[in-house]
Amino acid sequence: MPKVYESGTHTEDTEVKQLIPPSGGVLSAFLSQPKWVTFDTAEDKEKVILVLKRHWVTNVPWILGATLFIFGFFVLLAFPMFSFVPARFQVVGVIFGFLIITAFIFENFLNWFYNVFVITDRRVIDIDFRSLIYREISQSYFGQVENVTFTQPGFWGTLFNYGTVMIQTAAEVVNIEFEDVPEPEKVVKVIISHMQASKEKTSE
Amino acid sequence: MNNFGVIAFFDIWLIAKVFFVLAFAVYAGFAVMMVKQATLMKRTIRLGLDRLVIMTAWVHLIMVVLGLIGAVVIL
Repeated sequence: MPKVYESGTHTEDTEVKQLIPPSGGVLSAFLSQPKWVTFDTAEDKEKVILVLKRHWVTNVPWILGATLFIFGFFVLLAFPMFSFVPARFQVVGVIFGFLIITAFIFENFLNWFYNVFVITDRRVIDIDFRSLIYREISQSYFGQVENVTFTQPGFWGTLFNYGTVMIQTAAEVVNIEFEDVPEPEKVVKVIISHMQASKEKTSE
Repeated sequence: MNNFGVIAFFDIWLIAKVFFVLAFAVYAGFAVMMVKQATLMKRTIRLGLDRLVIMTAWVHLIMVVLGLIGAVVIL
């Protein structure tokens, strides 16, 4: 296995850049070496290597849902079936409907944007926001990682190159899954190279 | 009979008003939670769009509160 990344050596920058050159804007699902990303549990001088979100294709169902919702709303307005309703009630109803649509879109966007998987030069972190104010952060240092695999099930996963990366850790530590992330093969390579670097450091 | 009809008509819209006001009030609570959620997310990880996200959450909350006031005043 060629070394992709070796923490603390001169090869660090060049080899990481070869496999995963710095790329991706703020809305990208595969952010490589973003300098602007920071998180509250970051350790001193910890460097973010990858920030992964679910592939954008996974957003299609709720975007379609929102579009249908808006379309249905206008269709409903166009029908004279509500003509018996006083105008003031119609106005308030329309405002309420648009607020609901706004909240639906915003909530789905937040879920996609902030449920991220972070790979740093020391560990992997899975940040999940499961409800409005509940968050779950799972993490594992590379020394604790025992096995990394990925699956790319289904037609869409193969077509758009996304899949689930499974990180198996020592028994007492929780297993971590990066679901529907883009380029799972590259992600696995990065993690494996870090695991090797970590093991070499430990054996020295 | 006519008087009963007028009273029934009036009551329906009064009930509708109460329903709208209650719906807006519950929704305002949800909007407050959304602001809290966005703040918690921003505190956990900064991904570059955090100010815009917080601002959107606040604008949404303000719109809901205005909607609630509108429902009380207009209806």
